[in-house]
Amino acid sequence: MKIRIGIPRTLLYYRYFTFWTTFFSSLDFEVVISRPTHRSLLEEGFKYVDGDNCIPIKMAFGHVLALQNQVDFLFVPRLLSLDPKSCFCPRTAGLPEMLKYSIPHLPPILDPYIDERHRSTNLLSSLTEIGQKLGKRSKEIKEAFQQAQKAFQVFWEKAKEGSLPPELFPTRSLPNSDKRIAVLGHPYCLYDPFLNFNLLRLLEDSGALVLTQEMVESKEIEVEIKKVGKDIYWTFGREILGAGLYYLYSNRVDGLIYITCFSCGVDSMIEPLLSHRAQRGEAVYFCLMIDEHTGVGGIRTRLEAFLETIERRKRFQKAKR
Amino acid sequence: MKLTVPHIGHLDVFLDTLGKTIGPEFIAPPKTSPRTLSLGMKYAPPSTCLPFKFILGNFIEALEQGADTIAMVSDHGPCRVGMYDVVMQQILRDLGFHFTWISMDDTQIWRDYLVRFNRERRARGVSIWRTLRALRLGWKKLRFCEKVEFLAHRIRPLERKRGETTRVEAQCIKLIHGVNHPNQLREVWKECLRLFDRIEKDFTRKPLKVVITGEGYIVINPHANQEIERRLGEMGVEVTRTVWISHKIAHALHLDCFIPKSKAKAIKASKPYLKYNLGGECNSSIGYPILFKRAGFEGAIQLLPLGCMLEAVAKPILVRVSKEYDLPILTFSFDENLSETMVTTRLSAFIDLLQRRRERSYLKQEKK
Amino acid sequence: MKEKDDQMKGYLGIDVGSVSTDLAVIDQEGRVLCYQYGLTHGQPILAVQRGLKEIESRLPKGVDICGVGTTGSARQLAGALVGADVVKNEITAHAVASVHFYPEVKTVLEIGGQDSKIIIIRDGLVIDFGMNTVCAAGTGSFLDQQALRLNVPIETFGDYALRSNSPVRIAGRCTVFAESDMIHKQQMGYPLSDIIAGLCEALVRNYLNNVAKGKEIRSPILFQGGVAANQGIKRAFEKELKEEIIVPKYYPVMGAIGAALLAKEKMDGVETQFKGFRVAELECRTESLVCKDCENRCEVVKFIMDSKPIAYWGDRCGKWESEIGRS
Repeated sequence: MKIRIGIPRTLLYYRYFTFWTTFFSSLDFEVVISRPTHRSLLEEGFKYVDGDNCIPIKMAFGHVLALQNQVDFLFVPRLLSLDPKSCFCPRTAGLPEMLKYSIPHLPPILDPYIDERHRSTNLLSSLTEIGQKLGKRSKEIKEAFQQAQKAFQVFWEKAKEGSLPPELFPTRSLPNSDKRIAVLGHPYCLYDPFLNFNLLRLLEDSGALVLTQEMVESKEIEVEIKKVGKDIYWTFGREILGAGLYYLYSNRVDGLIYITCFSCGVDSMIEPLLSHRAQRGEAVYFCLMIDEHTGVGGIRTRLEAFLETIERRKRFQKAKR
Repeated sequence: MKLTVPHIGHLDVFLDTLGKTIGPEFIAPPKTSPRTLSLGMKYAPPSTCLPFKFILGNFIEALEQGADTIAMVSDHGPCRVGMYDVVMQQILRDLGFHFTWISMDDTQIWRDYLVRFNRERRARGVSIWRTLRALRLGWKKLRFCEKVEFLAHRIRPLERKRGETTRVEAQCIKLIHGVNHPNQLREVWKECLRLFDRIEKDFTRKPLKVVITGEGYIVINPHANQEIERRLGEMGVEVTRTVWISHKIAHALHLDCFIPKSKAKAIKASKPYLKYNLGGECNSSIGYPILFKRAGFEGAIQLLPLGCMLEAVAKPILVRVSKEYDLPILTFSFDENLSETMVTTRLSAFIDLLQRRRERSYLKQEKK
Repeated sequence: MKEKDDQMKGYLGIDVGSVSTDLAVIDQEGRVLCYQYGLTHGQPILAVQRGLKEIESRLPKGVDICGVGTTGSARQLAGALVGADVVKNEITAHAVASVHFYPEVKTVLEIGGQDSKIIIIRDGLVIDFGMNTVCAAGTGSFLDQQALRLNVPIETFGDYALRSNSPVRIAGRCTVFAESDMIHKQQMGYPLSDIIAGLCEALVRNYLNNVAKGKEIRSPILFQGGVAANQGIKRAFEKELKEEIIVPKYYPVMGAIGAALLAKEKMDGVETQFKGFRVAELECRTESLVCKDCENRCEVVKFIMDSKPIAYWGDRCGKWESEIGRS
């Protein structure tokens, strides 16, 4: 019987799932991923998680509860930093303890501490540590690591071209459209259709071409961040702001949507920087803030208004010529 | 240069002293008031934490009074404080203010503090000797202000007339502010002790001992925590808190060994509960209640701004600490909507809880 | 001094909350002699005076009030009015009453009109408690609102709920969104009893996720407060917690009983400060003034009884409170 490793479909799963699933499968473990977010999963999570937290953390609780009785180990990595300059939200580094002390009878948690800013805690070292705890040898682990890296590269190259796997964006069509809309935000805000009420699908259905921040070259992002004049220390902060400004200033989009979560520390500081500059730009900008009380009706209305503004602008510009 | 900084504890007495002796002119923002908060709330972006709103309000009021330079600490995350500079500057410039912003990075003590400071000193032609004396005086005044607070914490629960300790505390702080020369310090301190001595006390009371910990800004600023130290003291509780300006300075200079219950020790105590140091006060908020329980304290209160990224991690962990160390811990998440009545009712219920625990344990001891 | 027979000693407790004002009198053994509950209607002084008149009429002959305790959000006001010996917060009062009747109690659930509490008790001692923080979704006012809207008397709510075999799931953890979901379900034709049962379950869910979050709920569990009369809520709690829920006999006035018990505890050969039932007849009012002595500009409340100011409170520095000590 293979050992079952449970990966909650939450937080940075939406960016690194290719890496994690390849890594564990290559080591001959059975990978169990929680079902996509749904109402009762969320409600279960709410029973245990404290109100001071953002929705994604609350969802994480729900997903962990859903996996509780189905797996031998839970994988909740403490992803502190994957590059020398920036870090992720600190809540992920504390999540394993929050879970342990709030939910009884959890299976053991694999919680590698990953901080690429120091050699002893870099990705390979921390994964080697947990691999060894699960009884694997360093050589196997290293091979699995390399497989995972390759798989992630493939995913990332495709994502740069706009081709997202079905796990993130099922049946994405990339229509040839003159309505180009960039959607920005943390991956778990963009690719969890329950959280954003299927916004990406709604956009595509309305005939728009959805552009993502993965499609922006990292060196372009760096250029934009440098212009801002502040060495932003959050990985997603840089990515969101850099990509947003790139799209804005290069006139590649008609509209920009930033999906944020209430109580998100990163979004609360990055959004004002983006919206300030978007006001002076040509694209129509819209910030969608999600919290527990958000209703689908409200989102539809605002989306319609947003798209209509874009249409009107386009007609106006055509008429001018 | 007319320099301003946010209101944080008694930092102003330190900077004011430096300002008077070696310049630059230091403009303290007006005392943080409801107006400060409403200004902050009005212009802060949605979803920002309470300290942001207060500090923004402080800066607006200081700029209104003619300040032209803002100095503010910054860091490299992981919490939002490090981003205040770029976001606040944007807001303030949009409001039409003209100013220079100086970011003081805590991890760059050499570059941001010492080098800069030295440059200013030379530009004003102040000798190193005078500078050192001013620093020493400022530091001493700060320490005396903190000692006054410390005395107030111990005496307030014993006072017979409500409010007397607070009046004396304010008087002493004023006296210390007025010291211009090191020679005056000793006399002023003696006067403070005399004033505290004259407070009518009821020594038969045995106040409960409670430690206040949590996020730095909220813990050290009475305007942000609904004056919780004063209220607890007036309800007969001896409090202490875990955030002091002098400790912060010592911690930044890696001189924790001189502080008995230092942040470094608190972080160490938290290790069994939180394996890694997340930053901010998160780990120490978990460790301090443990240290203080060992020192005989009977309860702990955790304060945080609503939505705080780091303290929210400590919250559920503290529930476990409370159980395992048999130490009742009360938590308050502050935002502008937390009513005073809510806080008072919870505080008085908490005190009753602690009082009865004490009585119960005395009974147990008597039986033995 | 005339010797007072033990059975003749009575202790009065007054619980003045934002929605209801309750009074109770207990005897030396802690037995309830009489009680009374009424609505505050936004005027705590009048509510207390009305309550005093009513309870005086219910008081058995020969009982002498030897101690008074007040609790509730207007406890200070009530205390000044009647001359209280003990003024305590509601959590302590409810806990004391609960332990008095059920010494083994481990959890007290309380849903009032405007706020809700949970009290965790072990070995007769409060070890933890919670109060609702930001919202009204877990309180009685939500039920009242809906009863009004559905045109169903709140007293019959419970009966409707009990008739249901398949409660409708009502979403939204906010009163506004829960209401719109309810309306939606009504328009879809779900029977009223199922909707009301669903409403009860939503309230219980809200309560458990907010007020009771993270608290260790263990049996025996007491459920009290005005809402405890609602059988639908009781059943929803039992369903959710999978434990028996006990609604104590004196469920609407536990706070007042607790205040009376606390008064009894304190009065050990001490003379009571109770001004007597006559205060119900006196003209009482409050005035507020802004103190200009410093920049704090505190709003001070002045309590005037029979044209004489007898108490002040609300100042930060205490100078007003100490000017006229309470009699």
